[in-house]
Amino acid sequence: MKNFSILLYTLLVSAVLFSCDNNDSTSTIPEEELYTIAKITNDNGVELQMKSTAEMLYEGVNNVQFDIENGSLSDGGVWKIMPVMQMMMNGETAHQHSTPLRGFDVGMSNTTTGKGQILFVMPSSEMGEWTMHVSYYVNDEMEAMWVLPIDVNAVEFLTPAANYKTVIMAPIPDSDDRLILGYNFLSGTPDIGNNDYEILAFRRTPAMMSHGRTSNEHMFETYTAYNDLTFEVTPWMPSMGHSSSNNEDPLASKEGVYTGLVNFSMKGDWQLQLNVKDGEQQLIEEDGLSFYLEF
Amino acid sequence: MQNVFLIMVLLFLGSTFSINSMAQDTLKTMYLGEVLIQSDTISNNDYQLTIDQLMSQQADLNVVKRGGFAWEPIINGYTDGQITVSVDGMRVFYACTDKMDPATSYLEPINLSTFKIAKSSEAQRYGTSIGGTLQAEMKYPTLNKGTSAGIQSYYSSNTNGYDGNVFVEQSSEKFGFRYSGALRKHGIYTDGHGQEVEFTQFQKQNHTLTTVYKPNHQHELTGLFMFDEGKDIGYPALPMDVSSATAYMGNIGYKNHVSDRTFELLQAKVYFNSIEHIMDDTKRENVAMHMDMPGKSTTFGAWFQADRNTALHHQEIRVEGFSNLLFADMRMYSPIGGQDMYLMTWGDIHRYNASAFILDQWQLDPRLTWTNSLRMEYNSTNLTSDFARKQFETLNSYIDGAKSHLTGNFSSSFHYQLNDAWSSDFGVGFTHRAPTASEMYGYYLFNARDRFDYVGNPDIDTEKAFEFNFNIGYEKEGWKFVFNARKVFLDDYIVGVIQEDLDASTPGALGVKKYENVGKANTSHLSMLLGKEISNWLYYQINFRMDNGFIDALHSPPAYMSPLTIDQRVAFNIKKIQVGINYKYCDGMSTPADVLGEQKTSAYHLFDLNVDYGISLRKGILNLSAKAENIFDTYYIDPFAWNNIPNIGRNFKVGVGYSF
Repeated sequence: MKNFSILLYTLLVSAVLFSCDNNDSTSTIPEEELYTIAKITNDNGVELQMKSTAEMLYEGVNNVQFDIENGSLSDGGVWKIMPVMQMMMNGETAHQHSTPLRGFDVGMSNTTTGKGQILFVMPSSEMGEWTMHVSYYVNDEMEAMWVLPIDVNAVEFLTPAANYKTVIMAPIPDSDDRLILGYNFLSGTPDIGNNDYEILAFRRTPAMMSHGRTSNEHMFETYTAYNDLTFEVTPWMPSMGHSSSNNEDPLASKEGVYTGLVNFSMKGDWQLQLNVKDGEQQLIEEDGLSFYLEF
Repeated sequence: MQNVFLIMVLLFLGSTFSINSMAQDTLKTMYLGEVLIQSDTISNNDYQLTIDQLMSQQADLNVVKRGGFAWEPIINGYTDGQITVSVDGMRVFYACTDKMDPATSYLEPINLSTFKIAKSSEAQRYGTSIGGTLQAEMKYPTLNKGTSAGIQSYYSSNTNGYDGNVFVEQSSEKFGFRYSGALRKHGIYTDGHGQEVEFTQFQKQNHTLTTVYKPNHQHELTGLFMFDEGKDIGYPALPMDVSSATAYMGNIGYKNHVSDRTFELLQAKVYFNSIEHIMDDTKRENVAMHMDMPGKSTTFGAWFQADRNTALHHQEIRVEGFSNLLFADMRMYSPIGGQDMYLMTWGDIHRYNASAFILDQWQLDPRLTWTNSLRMEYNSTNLTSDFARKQFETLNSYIDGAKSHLTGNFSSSFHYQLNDAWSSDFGVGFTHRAPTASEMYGYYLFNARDRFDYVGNPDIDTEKAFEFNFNIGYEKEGWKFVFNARKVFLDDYIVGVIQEDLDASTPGALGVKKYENVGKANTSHLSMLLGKEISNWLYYQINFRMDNGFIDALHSPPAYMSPLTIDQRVAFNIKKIQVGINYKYCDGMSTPADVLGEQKTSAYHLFDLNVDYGISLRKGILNLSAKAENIFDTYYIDPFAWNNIPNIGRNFKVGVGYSF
């Protein structure tokens, strides 16, 4: 049974192509206090802790890392990280899906995964729970594995609206794929004045149900960094009906990462209205889905 | 409104009677002093006036009206940072980002001994100013006078309003104190069309205590404490009113007088004042968004002055320093129940100021006096709140420390006394004035007149002015004539310039303006007074004034240029009854500064009538007074009124006063 699990998760993790893209460096997490979100000890007595720059995990982009706190692992291995949402229906597992992530390379060692970002596309709820599946491989052999139950909190707004989003999922015309967007403020939280921020863009391809696989075979969707997008971002206060000045639209800075500058001229409720194109193809219009935040 | 002309007469014609002597002279002379050629001295009859009304009667002063109270003073079209307000030697700065509480609004005539408008060298003594200085001096007890007291009560029909005041003064040979206070409550007024002008109500109270301790002829200690509170003040020209405006002011002064030493008079004063201003829009209907907008101004300062008199010279040396801290913020309540919004409009703006002023009046010959003055001023202004600094990042301004401005003035003038009737003055002055706190660090301050949000410019330069002034006067055998001309050339003129790339913050605002130095501008000012004491019971006076100017970069006149205004007054005595008839013609604002939000106004004629009757009692005087203001109920709009709010219509005012 243990061998089967190792095989299964090896396949699952491999299906998430970007899961540990070593070519994708990141320096997006500020040097600040990390909060322990979850911890678990495996059968070999090695404790893994999931840490975040925020006190809790939220729907949207989370800056996290995984550290070994007790026990030890061999040198020279690689980490595999897989978030899994177990969707429930009538008390039974309906299906599973994952969520995009990036990073987990800089500073990676046998004691830490290094810093990375997980874009949770939905919060935990009665309908489904998140677990983090983390494994450590040495010479393609799994040395350790942990499954951490985690709680991903919904971001609630005082004035919710259908187009106010923390995570944007938009269909890509002429395909079954979807565009997944999340935002991250490099200082950690939005504030008055200049805010450097990044938009993480992924292309979600549905799980393949053909190519010789049977329909009941577990298979996860894939997320790939979405490059070559152009963004026009307008910060907008819906309560006040005005924008702010001297903003810089996000430009591609890394694989699937677009970095820009947004100015918040006052505290309150802010939309980041998006105009997103892939070449000439309009993916999101300004009066459509938008990021929304209150601070 | 004749104050300045009287000053001219007194100073430049070398009149033999002094302000004080006028106030203390015979009934007739006093009558002239009060009604016709009002001196700087505040008389008993002035106590019932609000300070706004008192200012609006000054010849060299105009006022900006945003409602029925707290009018903003203007000297020759110059306002705010272009003029200086000195209250009993203290620098006082308003606490409202929208200028709803000029420092003068915290004054009461019953507290004042003098209220004058100084220009040229005189104006620089209290602060670097291009336009001039408003100098209000508090009334201190007169020693060795025993007990005196007074009370006045007036009723105004138009506003169903009440004005009351009281003073009590007690003094001995060495010590004296004076308490004075005022209470006012007025409802909304009705204009000349019989329409109620909403949000013109106001009420206020003021309590002031002054003391003098003079142990001998050499030393004198003075003290002042004043509390003033305005409440429920309406501003029909603005989208908000004021729930409270509270001021505390205090100082301790010292004088040292020795006749036979180099500097025969030494004076010093330490002072503080604190003003808190709370705006209120809860009584307005159809408000897009309710807001809290409190503001606070705190000032500490001290000055020292030494006076020297020789056979040919009068010299003054004065050094002063003050610290002013301004804070104002806005909390906006989401109309849809969402997140409250918040910003700082004045984010702890801290200004330190140190200055030195020297003046020399040199009697070159018996007919020619040459006056020179030099003022040097160092201003260090900082936006100290990190939050506010971050706000400025959105304007591409990164503030990491204080900004300094070296400012000052040099003035030089000649006074020539041709003979005992004719005299003339000619002077020049060069001034650098520091930008105001709002001009440097104001953040999205909504101007309801031009409907633009204004943002400050931390890198703004000083405003420069070079002026010529000339006057000629004649006084003899009951005739008075004064002609006054002034021309000011400005450079690096500071005004708001539209920023196309900035988004307005205030709902309904047309855009954003940023204070900038826009280059050259100029203003011209003419005034003339002609008076004739026709007999010992009849006096007539006419006064003309007008301003003009141009801002090159805006192709517009500056704001607040006075159209032709003619005041005529006839005063006469019938036994103990004193009658005054005032007629004012204003040509209206025909060439407004459109780009700055001014609007055209029509010409108007106003007639006022006042009758006073004094009854001498066994102890004291009982004075009965009746006034009819705007007798013909003329509907008119003051040329400087914001957003064309109409002025008050006909008002009957009756009052009684008693003093001993």
